[in-house]
Amino acid sequence: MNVTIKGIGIAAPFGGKAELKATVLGEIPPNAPPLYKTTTDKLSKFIPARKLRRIDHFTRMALLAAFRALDDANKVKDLPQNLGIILCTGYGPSQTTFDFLDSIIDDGAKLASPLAFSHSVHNIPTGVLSLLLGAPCPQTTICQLTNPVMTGLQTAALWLAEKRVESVLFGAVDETTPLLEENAHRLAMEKGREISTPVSEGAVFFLLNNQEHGYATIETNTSLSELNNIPLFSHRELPNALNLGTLFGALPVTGAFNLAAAALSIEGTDRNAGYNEGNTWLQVSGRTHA
Amino acid sequence: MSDLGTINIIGAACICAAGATLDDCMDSMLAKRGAPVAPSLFKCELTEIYPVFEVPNEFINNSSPHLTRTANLLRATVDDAFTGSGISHKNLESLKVGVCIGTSVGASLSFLDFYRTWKQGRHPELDPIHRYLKSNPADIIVNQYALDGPSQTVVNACTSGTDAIGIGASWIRHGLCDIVIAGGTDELSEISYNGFASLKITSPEPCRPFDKDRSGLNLGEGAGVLLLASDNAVDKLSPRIRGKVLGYGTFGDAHHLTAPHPKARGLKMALKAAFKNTTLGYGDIDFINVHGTGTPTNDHVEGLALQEIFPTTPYSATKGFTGHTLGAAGAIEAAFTLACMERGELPPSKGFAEVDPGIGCRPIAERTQKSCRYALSQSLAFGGNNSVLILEGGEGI
Repeated sequence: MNVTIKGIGIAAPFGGKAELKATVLGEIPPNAPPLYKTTTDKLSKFIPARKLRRIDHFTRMALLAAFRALDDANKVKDLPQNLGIILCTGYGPSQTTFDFLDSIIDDGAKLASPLAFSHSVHNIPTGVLSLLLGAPCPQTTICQLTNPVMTGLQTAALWLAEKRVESVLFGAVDETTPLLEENAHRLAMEKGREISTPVSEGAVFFLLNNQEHGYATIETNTSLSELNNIPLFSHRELPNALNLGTLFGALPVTGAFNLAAAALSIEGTDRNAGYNEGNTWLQVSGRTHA
Repeated sequence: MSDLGTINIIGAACICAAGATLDDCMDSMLAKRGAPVAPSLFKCELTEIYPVFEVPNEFINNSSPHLTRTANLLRATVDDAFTGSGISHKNLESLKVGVCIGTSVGASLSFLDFYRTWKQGRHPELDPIHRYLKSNPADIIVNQYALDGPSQTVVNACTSGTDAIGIGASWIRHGLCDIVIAGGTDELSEISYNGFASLKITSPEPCRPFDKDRSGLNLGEGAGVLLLASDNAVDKLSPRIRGKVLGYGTFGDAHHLTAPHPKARGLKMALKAAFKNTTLGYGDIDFINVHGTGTPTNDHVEGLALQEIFPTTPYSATKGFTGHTLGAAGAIEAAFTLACMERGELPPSKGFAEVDPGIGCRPIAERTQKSCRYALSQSLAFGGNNSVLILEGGEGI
């Protein structure tokens, strides 16, 4: 059930796809961004500002990455037929959840914000995306801290294999909040250590299908021996791994950033690269490059 | 009846306000017992009380204080599903077992008291955070049973349970698993209570699905689980086969974030997708467990679709017995659907009394005997999600 990456879109503190590609090719160093915060003002290139008035930061990051992935594949105006949307996240729209709690605490339950409540529901970002694309389609959202990206990719591969859809906009997104940052420090201190990488945020989307030509093929079943002697992208310190943790920061969906880095590193070649999420390692192959 | 391989159902269980077991729930529903009550699990600041369907604590066996109520509901339900199937943990050792669970509240950062204290500039104890981190629904089952198959927590609001079963069925069909523990779980919480009240879709009275005078939903809580198995697993374990999952379809409306498409666009597309790889037609369906929340909008749209596509098929709305259990609803109702086919009896739609002329169709109002082989369980959700399962059951299995 291999799938092909047709487009990549990134909205991250370090920038987008161009910045990541320059980094993986060694053209710029993998330095920490000034802030681990993502700006989404470039979303206006794809969506009129009036349609974004009620959209929260979490969803804006997802939208920017999703439209960039479509744009990367030249598919914004000519949407792929039979599209599906799959989104994975570690925590969901955290700040909007806290906005709703703020409204209860500050104004009382009687004046609790219906907008914050409805937008805190975890599948709203996929609903917003399909609405703005004008594309009624299969859509699903996954929320877990254990392998959210691998899990989402597996669902994407199954949807394609079952011909439930012909293309999938598969994305991963998480956001920082002051509470999450503080809790990350406190949880690390409970274990007698400091956090090694600052809490970060961002979104990555891939336009996937099971045709032959694209950036790379994501192999959904990789044996460990295949990972010998190929470049690896990981937050772990390994002999042949490029650790971009400083660039990405720490977020539950880092696996999606490593996947994007691996795919960009082999674009236009017939080489392979590996990436991990937790203990799961997979590889991407450039052999099907157009 | 499906050309996509066989997905056997070898276990089914649920816990909700209607009962501590699937059998108890069916007995309650067929006897038309149960009513919502004022919330006791949390304090209500609102002047108007919106009654809810709470699960008595004694229904939740082996509850752990280190886990959320959502996780405890699920653990107890999964245990019951295995007990009922006659399969022990040791039987699983040579099999690839996956876990796919839907939830809504169970994945939300719903620690109001912790947050309130933190907002005051203090540093509250991290217990609620640890509890949250340990309680991801799919993870908790993977860890409890030491499983090594795929695991996924689906958060598609009120279609989550239905979607989890549909995704789990795909894992069997494509050989990723021999067995999948698939279902949904959610607890009542002060946050969702206030949230739904703020949207003005909760009723101060017991809900009345499809009734002319319906005034909103009642929240509920619970968990539902189906144990799905490949033919290979069935050969190894020789369990009783209670039914089959024949089809699954899901589609978003792309219309509105909290209201269904007025012409049920997504629901109709989900139905079409569910039937696509079966040899069944709409006319083969003997019974439908509908979403039927009791809100004016949901029941109107769902009713119009039923009138158009299933004009003569009997349907029940069971949320008058359970409340709307959000991410658990689809799984609990899939278990009900299976049990209805096993018993050859369909429950009444508690709360329904008079046909809404704007819909023009009538759910089952009284306990009804009917032999059923094929049935649907359908769910609608915020975000515009619509999901449908086609199940086979009854004596033919």
